[in-house]
Amino acid sequence: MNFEFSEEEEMFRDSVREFSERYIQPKWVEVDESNKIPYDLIKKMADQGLFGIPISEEYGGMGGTYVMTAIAVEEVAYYDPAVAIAVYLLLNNGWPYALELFGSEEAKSEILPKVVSGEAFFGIASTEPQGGSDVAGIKTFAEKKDGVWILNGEKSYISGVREVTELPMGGGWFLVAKTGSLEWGHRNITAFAVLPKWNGKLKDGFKPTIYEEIGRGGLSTGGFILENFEVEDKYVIGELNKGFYHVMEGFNLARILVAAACVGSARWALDAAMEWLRNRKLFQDRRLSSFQGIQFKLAELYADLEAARLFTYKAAWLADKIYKEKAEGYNPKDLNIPVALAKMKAPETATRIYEEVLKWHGAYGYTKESNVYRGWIGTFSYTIGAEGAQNIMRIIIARDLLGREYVRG
Amino acid sequence: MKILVPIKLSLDTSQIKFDESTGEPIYEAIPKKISDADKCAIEEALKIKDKYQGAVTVVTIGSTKDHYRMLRDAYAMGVDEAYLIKYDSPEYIPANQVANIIKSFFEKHGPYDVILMGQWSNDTHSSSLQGMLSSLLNYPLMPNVDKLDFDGTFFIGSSNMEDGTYTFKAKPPLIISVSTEANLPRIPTLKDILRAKKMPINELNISDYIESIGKLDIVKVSRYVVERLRNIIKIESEDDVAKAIDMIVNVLKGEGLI
Repeated sequence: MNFEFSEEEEMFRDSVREFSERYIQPKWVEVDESNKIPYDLIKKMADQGLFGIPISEEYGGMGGTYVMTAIAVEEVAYYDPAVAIAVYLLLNNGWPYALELFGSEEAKSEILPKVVSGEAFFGIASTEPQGGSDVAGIKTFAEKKDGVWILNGEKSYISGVREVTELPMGGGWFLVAKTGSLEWGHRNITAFAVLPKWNGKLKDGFKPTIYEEIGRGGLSTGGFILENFEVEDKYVIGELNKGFYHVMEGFNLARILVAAACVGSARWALDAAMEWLRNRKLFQDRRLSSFQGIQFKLAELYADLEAARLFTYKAAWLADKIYKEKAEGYNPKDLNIPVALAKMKAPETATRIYEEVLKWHGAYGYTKESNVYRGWIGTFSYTIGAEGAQNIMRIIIARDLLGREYVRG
Repeated sequence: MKILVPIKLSLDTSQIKFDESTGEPIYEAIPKKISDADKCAIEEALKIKDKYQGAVTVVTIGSTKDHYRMLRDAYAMGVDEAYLIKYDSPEYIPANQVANIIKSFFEKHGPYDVILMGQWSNDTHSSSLQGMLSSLLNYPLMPNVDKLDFDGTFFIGSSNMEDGTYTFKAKPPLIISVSTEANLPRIPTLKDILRAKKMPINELNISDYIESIGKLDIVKVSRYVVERLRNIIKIESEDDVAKAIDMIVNVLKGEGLI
């Protein structure tokens, strides 16, 4: 057993740290306030090779590991604790990698190099107005006519809607739709690479809306209606009617990175708080850090953060065993519990840390000037949903522990 | 063009922690890293290589894991060769002997057209090595440049001194020392890092480069404390602001500061 990063992983972590300190830290508040990640920053991240970390070199990627991808997301979130840039990074690594695992050669060769170069965005579109956790209940429908898939339906609470329309190349999503019948169930869902804007051109049948969110401002969330939207056969991801299983594997991969983002943001919050505790003096020149009430809480929060971090990297390590090394005896289902633990633990830990840190800062913590609230609201989005609701994580853990047949009512 | 960049592992002075009771640095708690100006020297060397081709060699003296890591980082930035002259306590080697070791390295592995080096190291700031090397190798020295250009024939460097900005011009062979103002060093990508992992770190015995090493003991390092006058000027109302300013000016004049 080895809990150390390898030398390359450490070097990579330091390089992402240096990059983030130089280019992200000075911008994170502006990004959060302006609701936009400037394109020159996206381009810089691309030039630094941050969008293709786990992607194979034949598609322009870095050929790195999933542990390295998690490292990059954690470090970027440390310097962008509001997490919009970190989430842009994680979506643009996790879902392109899922495309590499299951997509057609033609789609991969066409899409992945453009994502890696920063010209295009590729995220996930599964949630619909009637709900996000009930993937088997989606209503978006795809049928094949004259060799082309025609998609109709509505997706909501989707990250990157504005980015897809504004990036020079465009982009789209790993999108799931019913194929065959509209009945509730897992076996009539197919995944598609849906690219409403590609080669700089917006396609017909795509009607986007942008929502106004309370935090994580730099990355847009929105919805879109697909009306007779045409998708070529080469963009079918994986096997027909197996999309549910493919998207679940994609969610497992993305959830690891969501956890990494929350860990990075929370690490910043604790570091900033400790600096405050060491220097803030009151009650006749006593340091705030000298009060045991605060020390006890700090120790508990740190323990939770370390636990979340260990869950996260164990899951990333396991993803490498399964997908990168293709090690004997490991299969994708092995990821279910480790990933659910990380995704359950990290966002909840992060928001709890922020809540305490905000209180330690007293009235100043409640001002916009302190910026602590930005990380609080940003990480809070992941306690609600996004890549899977918290109680879905609990269901996964309990179901796999007890056995499927024992959890049915 | 063959370029040599001697580099030094120094204390990360931005993270120095002092023992509250003795006032001395807690060395084991201070991270080590390549000197900032040395990193800028590597960047200048790589810029020349990118434009005019050539080879960049880095060399350092030491033996710790951090020394190996520093050379690996240099490979990740894009240097062609990295040498480690092995010695356990390089921080105690006097600068004149470091200069002789580099000279000896130069003679065995060179010659090099240009030696690019940092103006000074993060932790000692002596700036002594550049002058000594210039003398030993009989190469002209372009000192402490904040901006460097190479047109394929001439190096043109400018250096901001207290009395003005000096602009130098020289052809190789020469030694150039650069400040941290010279550039923003490149940050290696993951591909660069993975490539660097495969590059060899060439280990050398220090005894092949110098006969015996004298030791310059560092007896004590303590925190530099600025004594403050704590001269407080109090005013009762806003009407007295002008009076207070006059009093501050008088205090500053009295101290010879203005």
